[in-house]
Amino acid sequence: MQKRLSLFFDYLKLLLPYWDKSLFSFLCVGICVLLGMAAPLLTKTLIDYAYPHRDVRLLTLIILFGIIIFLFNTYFSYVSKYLDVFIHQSLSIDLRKRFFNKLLRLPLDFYYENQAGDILLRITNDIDSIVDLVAEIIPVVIKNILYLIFLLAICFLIDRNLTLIALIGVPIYFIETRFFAKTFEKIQDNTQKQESEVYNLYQEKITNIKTIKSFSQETHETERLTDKLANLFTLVRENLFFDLFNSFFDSILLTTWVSFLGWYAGYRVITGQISIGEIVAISIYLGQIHQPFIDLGAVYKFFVRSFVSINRVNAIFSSESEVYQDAHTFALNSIEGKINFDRVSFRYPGMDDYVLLDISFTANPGEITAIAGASGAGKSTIIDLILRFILPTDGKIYLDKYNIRDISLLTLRANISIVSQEAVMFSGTVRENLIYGCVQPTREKLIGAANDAEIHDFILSLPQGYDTLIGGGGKGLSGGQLQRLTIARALLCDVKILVLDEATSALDAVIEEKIYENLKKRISSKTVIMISHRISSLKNADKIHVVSENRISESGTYNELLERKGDFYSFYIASTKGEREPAEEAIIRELMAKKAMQKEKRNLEQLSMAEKKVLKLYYEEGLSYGKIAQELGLPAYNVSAIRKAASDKIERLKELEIE
Amino acid sequence: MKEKKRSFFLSLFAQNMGQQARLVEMVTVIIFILLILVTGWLWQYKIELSDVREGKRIVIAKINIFELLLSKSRMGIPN
Repeated sequence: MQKRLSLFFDYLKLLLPYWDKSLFSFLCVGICVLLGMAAPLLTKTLIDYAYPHRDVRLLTLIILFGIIIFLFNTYFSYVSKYLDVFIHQSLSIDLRKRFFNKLLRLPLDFYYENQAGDILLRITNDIDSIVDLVAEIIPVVIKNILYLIFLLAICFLIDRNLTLIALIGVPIYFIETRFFAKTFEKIQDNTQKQESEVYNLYQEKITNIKTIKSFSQETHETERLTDKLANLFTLVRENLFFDLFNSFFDSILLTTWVSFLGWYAGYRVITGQISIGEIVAISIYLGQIHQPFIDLGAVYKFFVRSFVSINRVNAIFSSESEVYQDAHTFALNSIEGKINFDRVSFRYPGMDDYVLLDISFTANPGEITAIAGASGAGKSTIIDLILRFILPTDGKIYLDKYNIRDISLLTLRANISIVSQEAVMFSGTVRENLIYGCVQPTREKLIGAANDAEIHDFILSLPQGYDTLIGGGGKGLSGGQLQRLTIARALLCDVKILVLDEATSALDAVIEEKIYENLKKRISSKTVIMISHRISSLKNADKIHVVSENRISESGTYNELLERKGDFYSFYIASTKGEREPAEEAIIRELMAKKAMQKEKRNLEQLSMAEKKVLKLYYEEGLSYGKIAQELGLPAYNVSAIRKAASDKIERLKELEIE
Repeated sequence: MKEKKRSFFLSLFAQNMGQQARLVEMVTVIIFILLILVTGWLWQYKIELSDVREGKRIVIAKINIFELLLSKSRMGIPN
């Protein structure tokens, strides 16, 4: 309990920035409670003094006094509500901001271990629950404690014996509340877990809707959701059942309690120990006395239930964040960009098998260094290591002469631009997406990057050009367009290291070739690391390191590796074998066909003198073959053959024009 | 009138919530002072409790409203 309270007080500190408003709100609550006490006393005064003495003046005064109290009470209760809403909303914004900021700074491991649906549930339901608790618990507790104090004080003033007897029920009520609170906590914990599973399911299915549709699994998925919802519904029913059971016990307890008090109060009137006005007033007060207990009991149950949320949120707050900059690391403001892997090995924590083993290579500025290999060979892990998403199990990675462990994360990542396998665009305009993470680039730079990524013309064809809104994830854009946008984004951030992780996998060979040509003009002083298993991409690399069975099996230029006939050669054969037609060959074939056609066209256009004369005399002057033969001094059958050959040539020319 | 109402509410919502809360607090302080003044005035204002006895209305007690509300009564006469 002590641990819980200390945790709760930690969250209560969130109220500190709003202490003045909280204090104001408590003051207003106190005034409201005090003013709210007056009504039964006014009734008592009317019954005991005004009516028996037929005192109209007193009656008028008391009614006026009641109106004044009502007006003040209304004003202060509204102010209190207004300030409570202000504090609640501000607190909600503060906590969400803190939580989101924490989430963004957690290492990738956290995201591998936790499902997105569960994280979303914590960010929504759990945070709401904590804010409700922190923002509301203190006003409610203060209000009810003050209410109880004033109520008991007035009751004591009116009749001490009756009040003391009324208090007997309090401990019984607390025991009952405590018993039920424990059960509620258990149910709440299970409900949150079940809800988290439902959220995970929603998230997973919505993000993979294409797969569901392509396998026609809509009905099956709905059934799976129904099962999960049925489990959740069982827990909600259980909760409801205990709630009703709790309310039933509350009602029995209160009815017995109030009935006994009613009898005892009546007895005291009959025996002349208190007046009728006093019994009316005290009955009203004692009728209200259960409300603070019910409210405080509800607060206690809410407090216990909310600890499920507090624990879930606190688990994230207490997780270790990535350290972006501290006293143990230094900032790198200008770098050359040379990357050196020195006998680096990596395996995931708790796993026996290495993903990468004894990897050593150097990526020099001004060169494209490629990491090739089959899928699952560990190529992308190399990128994660460079970006320090993960740390090497053994070995060291150097950026220039510095171990990347000693470089502040902030400056390390600021020097690297990445085009990842998954082309991600956020909801916003094309421009906003392109300048994401860059210091306000000029218009020329923006267009230059888009041009080099071969996407400028496409952007201009959009309804609002660079200001066209694209949905979250780049909905409505093709894979190739998305990939080119991410390439433009990476080129725009003019940093020293450019990482291309299967960056052109969705592009055709022609566009890919053009992009690499543009890229080569830009990278005179940049280090480019390319991860690819596409032969067409690897051709552009200055040096290729082939990863096979978690190690670098061979390194060299494209031609060297092919000549060596090792792993890369096998990989090359495997990549091209079975394909109907490599894209480059298709282009060459197309070009050759075009050339042949042009040559034929040129040949056809060159009619001989004899052909031209025959056609002129035959078609324009309408002479017969015999007359033409006489005119040209040729045999008649030759004229006929020449005319036919010339006509065929013209027909073929027309066909070629159409093609 | 409708337009005035609309512009009044629009101006309320357009205000920065922090500034608005500060304004509410200031007004509340004034109202609170008013409440204390009213309470002070009521404290010194003595109500005359009277009764009709033998056809005449006679004053049986002079008391302020708070004393009257919290007094124990016996047979209609405050102790």
